[in-house]
Amino acid sequence: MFQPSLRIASKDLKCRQGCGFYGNSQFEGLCSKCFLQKKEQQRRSTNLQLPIPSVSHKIDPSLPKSADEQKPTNSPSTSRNTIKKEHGSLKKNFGKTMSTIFTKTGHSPRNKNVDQHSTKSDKDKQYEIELISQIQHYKFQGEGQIIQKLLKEKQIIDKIIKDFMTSDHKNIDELSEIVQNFYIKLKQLMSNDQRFSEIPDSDKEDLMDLFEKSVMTQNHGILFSPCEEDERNDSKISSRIKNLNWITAKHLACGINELNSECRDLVYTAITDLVAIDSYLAPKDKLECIVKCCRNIFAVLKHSGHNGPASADDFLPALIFVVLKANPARLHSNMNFINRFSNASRIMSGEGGYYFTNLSCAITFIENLSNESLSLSKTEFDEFLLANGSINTPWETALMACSCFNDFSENMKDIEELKKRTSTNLEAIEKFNEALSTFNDYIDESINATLSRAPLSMRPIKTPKDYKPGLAEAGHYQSNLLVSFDEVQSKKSNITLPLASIKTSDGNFLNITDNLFGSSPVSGPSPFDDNSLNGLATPEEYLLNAASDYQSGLTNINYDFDLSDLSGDNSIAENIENLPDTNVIDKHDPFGDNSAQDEQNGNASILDTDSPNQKVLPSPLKPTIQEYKGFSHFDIPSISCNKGSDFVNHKTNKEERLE
Amino acid sequence: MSSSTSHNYNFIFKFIIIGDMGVGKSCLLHQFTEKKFMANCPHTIGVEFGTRIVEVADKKVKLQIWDTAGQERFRAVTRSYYRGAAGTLMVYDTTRRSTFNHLSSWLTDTRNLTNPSTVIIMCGNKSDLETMREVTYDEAKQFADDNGLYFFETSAMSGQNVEEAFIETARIIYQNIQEGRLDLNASESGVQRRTNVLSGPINGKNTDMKENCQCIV
Repeated sequence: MFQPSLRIASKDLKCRQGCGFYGNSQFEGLCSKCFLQKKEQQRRSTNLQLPIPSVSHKIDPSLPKSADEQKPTNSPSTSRNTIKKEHGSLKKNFGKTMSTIFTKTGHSPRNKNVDQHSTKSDKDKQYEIELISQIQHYKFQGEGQIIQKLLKEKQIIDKIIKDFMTSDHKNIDELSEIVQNFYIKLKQLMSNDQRFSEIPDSDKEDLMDLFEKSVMTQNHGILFSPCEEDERNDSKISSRIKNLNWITAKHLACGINELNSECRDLVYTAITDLVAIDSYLAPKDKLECIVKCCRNIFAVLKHSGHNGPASADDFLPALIFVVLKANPARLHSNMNFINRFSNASRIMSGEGGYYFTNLSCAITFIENLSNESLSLSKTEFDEFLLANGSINTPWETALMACSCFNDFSENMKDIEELKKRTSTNLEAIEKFNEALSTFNDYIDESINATLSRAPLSMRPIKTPKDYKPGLAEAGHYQSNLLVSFDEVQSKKSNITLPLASIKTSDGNFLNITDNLFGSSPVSGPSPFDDNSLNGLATPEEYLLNAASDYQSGLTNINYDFDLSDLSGDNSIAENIENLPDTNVIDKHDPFGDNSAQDEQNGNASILDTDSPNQKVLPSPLKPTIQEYKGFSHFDIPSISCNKGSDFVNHKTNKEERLE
Repeated sequence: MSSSTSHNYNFIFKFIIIGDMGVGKSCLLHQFTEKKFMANCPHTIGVEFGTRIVEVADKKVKLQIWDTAGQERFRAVTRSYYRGAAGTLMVYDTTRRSTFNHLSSWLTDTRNLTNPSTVIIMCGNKSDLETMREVTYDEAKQFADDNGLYFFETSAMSGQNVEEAFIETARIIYQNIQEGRLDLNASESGVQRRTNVLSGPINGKNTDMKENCQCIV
């Protein structure tokens, strides 16, 4: 069977004579030269009352033979058959009317008789066999009788149709009525005849369909597009649609997203379905094409992000759009054929009927389309009509840039996919973060719990009388820290200035510990490490030892060092000389500074303000420093640099705070 | 006589729904055929396209409802929808006066394009949006009475009166058949009688229908 395609092969555009020039559909697919030649020949042949001569031989043999054309029968080769054959294939390929000459000669009385005599050709038999095998498929009881009955009916209607079509004053609508009545009669017969009584309802309908299909397929040749009017309408609507190819989905205000690739694919499918209408013979199959097309349109509407059920308000414009883009061949003839010879109940009701009605509406709309129906001004509309062809609608562009566009949309899809994945990842990250913060909270909580527990157990240490000698012996700076911290905690409400100073000292303690452990990697790998260690050990030790009176040593150094100089200086020698001072100052400054500040404030020490421990705390500071000094032996060079600057900043902050 | 469940009905009535765009025609249809308001549901087309079987006076009636496009520009071309409609639901939106004002032209279309026995029902849809109401019940009722129409205020959202409107229409059609006002043999009556589901005694006018006539066997 002829498979319709959306594209026309270039060979179909060439002159059918094969002369190499391009043909024109208005010249029946011939180039102007060949067309003139052919016309001339036709005129001569009609004048001579001879069967059409050379024309039939000139038909390009490669042209697809449509199934609906009359196959060569065993009846004597008549001009009618030749003509009809050519008629069919020409119409098939170009959707155009043939010149009236063909029609006239085709139905010349002389030729009719030949057809009438060959009533029971092989072809007819073939259809009968087909019908029989289809009925046998159902395996009815007493199917022999059923088949016999149906074949008899079929012969009757075949004869009626043939007789009618060969009569002189034929009116296709009259025949349509006859056929419809015959269907009704057959249906009634089926429901009342005993032979059919065992058959279920749905199968009866199938039988009716089979019968209809068989009859219509057999007589398609004479019943399809039987009058000139149909053909004229076909070409009219076809050229009308061509002129309206600039119409976009926007003009029709329909919900088709022309740029969405999925949508477009569905629209393509719908178009293919609609175009296929011409390739089927039976009205039921043609109707099926319409149904398929319309279902796809509903799918398109679904895809176009419509809210709510797709309604006729959206559907009809979309269908019109599809019809405009499909421009199905012989549209009018097909519609009329369905309308006339399909079982009336099918097109009056049911899904098929609904879609058929919609398609009729769409066609009527296209025929009567005006500027108002597209909400355009008259001038705009006329401009569009005139400029027809030169305007690239999104649809045309999409067709032209098909491959690029597909790639593009494919990529877009990929990007969307990636986007999705990214968002999934982000979500996972967020979840993880949440879990992390929960875990953090948990940790904090447990730390707090532990902390709140820990001081309780530590409290005994805090008792001033027992504590004083103990601490001095232990000589660990951390014990000092803990004590002062507990102090602060317990005295919180009372402390004002002292709290600040204690806190700063607290902070400095932490800084020092950082220095102790954190600074060594910086100085560690340096080549002069050994040197510095050796060189430094003495001065520092010396200095620290010398400054046995700790407080005085601290106050001496407090304000005088310049760290920027040191950091900028590359000389090791200078470093070594200068470092001990700064280093010592740096490490000890927190206490020195505090004490200095305290002295400035007129207090003997920071902790003096805390009355209960006043006497206890100053002394523990000393052992801490000595302990710390031991560590500093290894870390001197860089500690001095970094911590010096850090400390300067820190100190200025602190001073600001205090002042 | 055997008949499968899907074929188990006595009549098919064809209904059409008309009215301006956006008055909720398709929502009414969906509410009735699928018993829910489909605000965000995708359109599904089954075998039984826009149909529902209801029971009217102990008879199973298959209602086949055709939705129509309501845009002004399609008015001229949609006349083929009307062909063979046994019932017409003329819908307006109670929250938009313009849709009510257009009813008279819809009515003219219906009267011109359907056969005289077609039952016309007027539906004021979106009655759930009481606060936005622009057309009062009384005013609409007056219009319906003046034109001899049946009137319901419906809500496709809540389902209020939707069943009633459709079933009432079917009931009136059935009544018309019983009383012989509707000629079943007319090709465009919009009513099909199932051939092998024998119904109860129907008006004598229909005895000429062959499926009931026992003499042809």
